[in-house]
Amino acid sequence: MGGYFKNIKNGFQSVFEGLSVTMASMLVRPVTVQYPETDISSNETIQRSYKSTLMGMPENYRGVLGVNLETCTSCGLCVKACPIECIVIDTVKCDKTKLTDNSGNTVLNRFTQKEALKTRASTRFDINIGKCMFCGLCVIACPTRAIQHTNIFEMNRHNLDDLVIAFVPEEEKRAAMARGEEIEKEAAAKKAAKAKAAKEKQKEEKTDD
Amino acid sequence: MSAALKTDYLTINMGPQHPSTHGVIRFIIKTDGEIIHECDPDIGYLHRGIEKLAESVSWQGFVPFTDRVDYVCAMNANLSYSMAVEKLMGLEIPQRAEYIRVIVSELNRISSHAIAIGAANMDMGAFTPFVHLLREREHINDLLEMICGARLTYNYICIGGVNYDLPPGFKEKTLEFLDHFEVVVEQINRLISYNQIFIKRFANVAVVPPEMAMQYNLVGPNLRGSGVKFDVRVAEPYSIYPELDFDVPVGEGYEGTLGDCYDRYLVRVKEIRESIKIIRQCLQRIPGGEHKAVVKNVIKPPKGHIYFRTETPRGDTGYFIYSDGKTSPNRLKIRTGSFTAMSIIPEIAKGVFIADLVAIIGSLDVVAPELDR
Repeated sequence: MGGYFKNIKNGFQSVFEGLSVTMASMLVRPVTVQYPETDISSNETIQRSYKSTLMGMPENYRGVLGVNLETCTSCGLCVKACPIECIVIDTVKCDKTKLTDNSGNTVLNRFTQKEALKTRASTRFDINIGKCMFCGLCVIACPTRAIQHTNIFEMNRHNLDDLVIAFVPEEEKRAAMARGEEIEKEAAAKKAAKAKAAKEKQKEEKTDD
Repeated sequence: MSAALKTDYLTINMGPQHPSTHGVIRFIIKTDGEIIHECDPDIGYLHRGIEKLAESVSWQGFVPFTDRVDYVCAMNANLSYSMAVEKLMGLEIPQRAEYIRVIVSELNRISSHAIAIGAANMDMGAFTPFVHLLREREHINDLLEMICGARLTYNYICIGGVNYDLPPGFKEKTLEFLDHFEVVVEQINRLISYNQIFIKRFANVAVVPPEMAMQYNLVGPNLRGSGVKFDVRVAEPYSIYPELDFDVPVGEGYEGTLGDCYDRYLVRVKEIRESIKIIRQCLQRIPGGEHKAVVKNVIKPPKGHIYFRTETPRGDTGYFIYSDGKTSPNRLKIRTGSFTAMSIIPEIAKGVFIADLVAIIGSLDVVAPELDR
């Protein structure tokens, strides 16, 4: 009988002890951030409207991929690194240029520490964000840091096709294709001329005999 | 009259969509009134063929898939796979990377145990502790997001080290969190672990004696809850664990029988404290230097096979890899703790109340994606 009442007493005691913890948490500042009313893109914006202990989005947040075509050499390393093949690149030949970033500095290859050369232009650079799992392997593989994560995380689109981001605009694509054809023609003409010259040389040698 | 009345077992389904099965698992239960006569777990609802996928992606490309094997402790899965491949290649990794790996995987262990404890409480009808622990887990998510930019599927530990170095201010923020969390663990204990109603639900339910635990190949906290002092971190030391000072908590029959649900639950609470201890030591000793060894873009490990296991929050996770010297694994097999934990349920669920089955699942901490892969 004594055990029975002791049981009840212990039960009540532990329930009230638990309740004291619950009551104490009423004095704690709420941690829930009211997204989308609150801008959660950085810690400062959260703190401005909300006194929260949460940190907000960091600078290195792995959001939707973005590509800077200025520094992209169309090497295709990101395509090889991607385990689910969500990046598609088509390339044509272009004029050889040294890469410079927005402030005019030469871009170095991250792995070889040599100047990055542009020998190809991409006519198509598509990333399917519907497939992408934001693992960041392409960003790690990119030698010129052309492909980077942005902090965009809202990926709702009205159409499935809109999930494929095309980074090369239509005019640029046409221009690159045209220039690529020209270069190819020039190269072919050069080759033909070379072959002709070689043939004539052979002929001359023959006639000399 | 009663002799003529024909009685039969009633078969009911628990799941596949059931709030307390922690994922998509189905239990086919034959009941005799309120008592379970037979419980047959039906798994495979979350099978995604991850092992088969490994055969068509590159060695580095499989790391993001290991995140999805067990999303509650993705870092530990990353670590397990990366270390297996490194062993196969004979790759030495920088000391700093080893320390970072241990820090992040122990942080992930804390967040995983927080979920396990919270979910067990929620299954028992106590919703408040679950919300409290989710709030604390948010801080760990923030810390890990600060390192690698992702909150759940990190892809942080890679073959050859870690992908990114620790950001400035990480050490201070982690220490601040640990100071705060140590208090929270005590609060949670006061809130629910020592609550008499909760103890009455968990104590003496589904007792797994040490011999039976070993026969069924239980691993991790479930095995230690039965009083067997086995931890892969201690038994087969890897990384820098031999240099660290920590205890392996085991069940001692805290509230009644050795190996009951409450023992398994309390082992997890105690493990959180050990993890905090490990992280403090690592943060103190972490050396400078590189965070990643030089690894080629395309790696081809030599021919051969390897089995490597590490201690994850749900027991030891082992990766068997067979390499034929090509750019992707020839065969990969993942061995997880949830699977063996699931195999013991038909045995211990016999003769318990239906309500106690929820306690069993909660205390075994089964995670469905890890179960099916």
